Amino acid sequence: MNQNSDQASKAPPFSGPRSAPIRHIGEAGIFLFRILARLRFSPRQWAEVMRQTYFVGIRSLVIIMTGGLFVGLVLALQTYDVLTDFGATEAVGTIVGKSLYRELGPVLAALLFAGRAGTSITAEIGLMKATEQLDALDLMAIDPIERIVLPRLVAAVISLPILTLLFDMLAILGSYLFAVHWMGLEQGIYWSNMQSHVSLYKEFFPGLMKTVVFGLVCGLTAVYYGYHARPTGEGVGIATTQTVIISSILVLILDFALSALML
Amino acid sequence: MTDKQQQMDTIVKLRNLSFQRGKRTVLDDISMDVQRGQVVALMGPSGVGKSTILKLITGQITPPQGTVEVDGDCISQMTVNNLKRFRRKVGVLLQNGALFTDLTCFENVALPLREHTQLNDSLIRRVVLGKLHAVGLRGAAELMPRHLSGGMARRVALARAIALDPALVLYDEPLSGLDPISQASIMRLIRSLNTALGLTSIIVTHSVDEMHELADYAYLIIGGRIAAHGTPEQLAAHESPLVQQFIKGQPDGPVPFHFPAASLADDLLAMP
Repeated sequence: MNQNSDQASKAPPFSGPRSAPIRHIGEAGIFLFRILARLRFSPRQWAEVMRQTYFVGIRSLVIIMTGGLFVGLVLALQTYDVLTDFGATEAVGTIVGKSLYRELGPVLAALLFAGRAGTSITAEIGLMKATEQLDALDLMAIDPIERIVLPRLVAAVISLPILTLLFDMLAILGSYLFAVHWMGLEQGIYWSNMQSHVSLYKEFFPGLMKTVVFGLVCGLTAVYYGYHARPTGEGVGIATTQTVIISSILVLILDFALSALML
Repeated sequence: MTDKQQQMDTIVKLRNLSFQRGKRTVLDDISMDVQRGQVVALMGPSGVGKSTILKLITGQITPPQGTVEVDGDCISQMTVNNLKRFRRKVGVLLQNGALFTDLTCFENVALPLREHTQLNDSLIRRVVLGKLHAVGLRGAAELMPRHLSGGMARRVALARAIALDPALVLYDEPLSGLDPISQASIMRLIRSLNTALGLTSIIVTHSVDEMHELADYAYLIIGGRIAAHGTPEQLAAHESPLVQQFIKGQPDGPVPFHFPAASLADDLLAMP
C-alpha cells in the first residue's frame, strides 16, 4: 500500500491515461512552437511549401468540389421546400449564402479536408518514420521538422481557405442550378437577394478567417500524430484514425467558439 | 607504433559505455577502439545492442554512462550545431536503405549535397552521377525507389551515404534480406569503397560469413558485454564456449535455447 502510494506520488504530472488529452494539447502546443521556430522564409523552404500545397490541394479537390455541389443542392432543396409554405422562395439565395459563407462552408470543408488531406499527411509522415526516412534525414544533418513537417503544416494553412472558397463556389452553383434551372426561380431575384443580404464583412471574411484557424488546427493535428506515431503498421493506423477524430472534434468546438466571438 | 600514434589513428573510441532501456541493461561497460582505415564488424545475436552502439556513435542517443569520442570529439558534449557539422562527416547506411520514396534515385543522392554545399546544379549532377556510377547504378538515376530491387535500393542508399565524402561510414545490417548476388555486390562495394576512398567502416551484423569476408577486426557482443574481440581468425580460434556457440551457430549452449521459466512439470501440473 505504502509502495503504491509512493509510486503514485513519484509519477510525473499529467502522465496518467485520464490526463492524456491535456498532455496531448501541451505537447502539440510545444510542437507548434518547434515548427514555427524553423520558419526560414528561404527560397528552398518556400519551394517545398508550394510543392506540398499543390499536393495537399490536389488530393482534396475532388471531395471538396463534389461535397460543395451536393451540399448546395440539398440546402436549396430543403430551404425551397420550407419557403414555399410561406411564399418566400425568392429568399433561397439569401439563406444559402448566409449559412454557407459563415458556417457550413468552413466547417464542412475542414471536415472533408481532415478526412482526406489530414489522414494522408499523418500516414505519410508516420510511414516515413516507420521506414527510417526521418532518421535518415536526421543522420544527414537535415532537420526533419524543417524539411518534412513545416512545409505540410504551412501547406494546410494555405490550401484550406482556397479549398473552402471552391467549396462555397460549387455550393452556390448547386443551389443556383436547383432554384433557378429546376424550380424556375427568376435568376435576377436569386442573385440580387444574395447580393443585398449577404455581407462581405459580416459573412464572407469571418468565414474565411475561420478557415485559416481550421487549416492550422487540421494541419497541426495531422503532423503531430504522424510525427509521434509508433513506427509500426498498427501505430500508423491508430495515428491516422486519431487525426480524423481529433481534427473533427476540434473543428466543431472551435467553430462554436469563433462564431460566438465574431457575433 | 607509439601510444600517441595509435591514439591519433583511433577514429572511434568508446569508453565504459553503459545504456539501459527501461529496467533492461542493453550495454554494460563497453569499451572499444576503431582504427582509421579499417573495416570493423560489431557482431552478436539479435537484440544485444549492436544498433544501439551505432546510435550512440551518431549522437542519436546519449549514453547515461561512459563516453563516445569520434575523431577526438566527445559526442555527448557537442552542441546541436556541432552535432550537425559532425554528422556531415559520417555516412550511415540504415537497415532498409531508407530512401525517400517521393524522390528519384538521383534526387536522393543529391539531397545532402543540395542541403550542405553551395555546388551549382551542373557540379551536383557530376558528383551524383559519379557516386551512382561507383555503386553501379548510374543508369537507374531517374528511377523512383519503388522501381528498385532491395539490393539496388541499398546501393543507392550507399551512394547517398558517401555523397558528402565522409571519413566514417556506419552500416546497420547491410546484407539482411538480400539475395546472394546482391549480398556479394554490397560486400564488394563496402570493401572497395573503404579502400578507394580511404574510409573507416563499422558494420553491424550477425552473420559470421559476412564478418570473415569483410572485417579487419571484429567485436562480439553478447548479453550487453564484449564477449571477445580480435581479427576474424582470432575469433574463430577463440576458446570461450560462448564465442564458439556464436561462431558455429549452435542453438543451445551458454546462450540457452529456452527462455528462463519455471520447470515444465510445475507449469503443466499447475491448476489454472
